[in-house]
Amino acid sequence: MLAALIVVFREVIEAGIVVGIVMAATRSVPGRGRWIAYGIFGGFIGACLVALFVERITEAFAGMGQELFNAGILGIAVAMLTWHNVWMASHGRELAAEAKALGQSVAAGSKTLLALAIVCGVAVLREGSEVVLFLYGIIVSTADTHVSVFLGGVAGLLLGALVSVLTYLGLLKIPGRYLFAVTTWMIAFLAAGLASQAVAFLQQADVVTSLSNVLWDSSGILPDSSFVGRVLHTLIGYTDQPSGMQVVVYLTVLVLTFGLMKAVSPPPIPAHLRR
Amino acid sequence: MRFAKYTAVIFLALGVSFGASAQEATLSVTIKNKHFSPSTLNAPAKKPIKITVHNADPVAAEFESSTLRVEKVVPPGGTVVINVKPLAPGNYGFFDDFNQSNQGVLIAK
Repeated sequence: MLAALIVVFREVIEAGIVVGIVMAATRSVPGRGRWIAYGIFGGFIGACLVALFVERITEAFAGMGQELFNAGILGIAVAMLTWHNVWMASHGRELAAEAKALGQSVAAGSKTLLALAIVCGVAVLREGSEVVLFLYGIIVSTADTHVSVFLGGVAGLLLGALVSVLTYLGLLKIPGRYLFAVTTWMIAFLAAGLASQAVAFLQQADVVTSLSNVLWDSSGILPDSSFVGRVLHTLIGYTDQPSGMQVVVYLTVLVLTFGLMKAVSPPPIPAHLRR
Repeated sequence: MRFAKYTAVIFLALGVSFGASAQEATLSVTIKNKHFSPSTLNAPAKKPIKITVHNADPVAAEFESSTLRVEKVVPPGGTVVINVKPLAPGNYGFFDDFNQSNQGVLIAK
């Protein structure tokens, strides 16, 4: 039972953290709970479909379907996260001003809820399909212990949800005026990390072949498989043996995100016109 | 034809070498009754490797190795091919992520 709990928990940590960050980033945006719930539910349905068609996906693209599929949905998540940050940089201030004018406590951002719902969906879909396959395997196997193993898996899922809640509550401890800046940075690093994961899948599929040498090996200090390694893997894209191309893409996404944000953000309001 | 020529040039420029497949080492391993067979794979170092993993069990497995940088679901009754970059000599552990007591090692020499 404990083994199953650990397997499932390890898979859902990432989705848990992503959902927590998105919840914090959209704090006080009306309707965000509903959108994020749609995203998670959509991801769950998607996970079941992926598990159901895993053979077809595996055989697609000359046997490299899994890698290309993973790279593709990670790419979607990167695009959505980057778009959210850039859009907020260009419209955030006017939205906040509008909300203040209307006497609402809206922190802005309802326009990009769909993008963030998709991000949650993708996070659930990716690791969720493995959880579904794992739990399904236990259910169909004839071992006597399968009930307890299944319960362990369910407990792992609940712990993943707990990670979500803790991430969210932890972020809410940050004072309101800094929260937006913090979630912006977190989303930028999340996007960069997911982009570097997508590159790893493309390298596994032999689609990307240049700069495939490992740049450093920190597995002796902080292995990917450890709990801290897993959490950092999600938060900032940490990996103990990154390839050159992964690092290049990681940095490119960060530079691109902050460059675009700077390019689109409206000029600061002159001091004598404030208030 | 011109298109094919350009495509070939582009692929070569990207570092894809069409001759590589001839030098690739191919290995195969089967998962049966929740065990890798063989559980020790011998491979040449510094050469690209293709590992064919066949899952003879009725439940899905996931072939995973952090040192080989691989994570791939093997459907029940299915076969997957895994590309491994040229390795430095050494031992590289792998396992079934859905059944972690099932472990094996790849020895590159």
